[in-house]
Amino acid sequence: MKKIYLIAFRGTGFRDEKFVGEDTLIRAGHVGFSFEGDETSILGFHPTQKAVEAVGGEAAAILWLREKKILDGIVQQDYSVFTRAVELVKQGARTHVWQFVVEVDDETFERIRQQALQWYNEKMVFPYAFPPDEPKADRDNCATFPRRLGLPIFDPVGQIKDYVRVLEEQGQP
Amino acid sequence: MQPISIETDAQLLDALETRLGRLAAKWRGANDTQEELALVRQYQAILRCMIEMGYRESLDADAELPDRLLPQEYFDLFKSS
Repeated sequence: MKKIYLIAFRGTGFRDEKFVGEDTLIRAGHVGFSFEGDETSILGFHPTQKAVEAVGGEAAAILWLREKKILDGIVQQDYSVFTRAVELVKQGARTHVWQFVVEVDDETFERIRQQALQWYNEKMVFPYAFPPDEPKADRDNCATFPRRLGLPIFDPVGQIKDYVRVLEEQGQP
Repeated sequence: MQPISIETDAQLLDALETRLGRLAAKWRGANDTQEELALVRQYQAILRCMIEMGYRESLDADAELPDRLLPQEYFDLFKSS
């Protein structure tokens, strides 16, 4: 058996001046996944830089998503985002990082890992959207994306607050 | 669904904050204008109530409706004095 880690934190939100200079993912909250043996790599799904710039930058992209619109998203390397989230807790941010361990047999582990790495290396595009209450098969956010790999998603809607709460209750810091 | 036990204002605010997030998700899933309006009214009433109770946080990005649908009281929380 091998371990896959689902890792998440709530963002600071976008209104507090104290965090205005932080990365968009720090302010939005994020969910990523990591594989046993390579724990310093955390992959996460979020909009591409090109898609963000096409709608006017990061602040505009958040407004865009809140208006029910979609952006191109890819799997990206987000380890530094999670380490920053841990650091910010010391400054009073609500960005506590939680993880949940999924144990799978070796064959499943390798299949999921290879698929994730392939999408990462090929920059495979999937539609990214803030989640509606009824999940739609053609779009994801960071919290629902792991379903594409056959991983559990805990909260079918993908709201970051609900997702992190489940990890708080069932996972570990 | 787990029953919610509310014993303090903080727990109530937390539950209301969760409710706002779910209303925002419901609004994103709504295709009908009347349904959207009803959801916005409910959302604004809850957020105003939370602010009256002392809520001073920034909502999660996916728990916010578009700015044009958020109550002025929410923006006022973050105005520099």
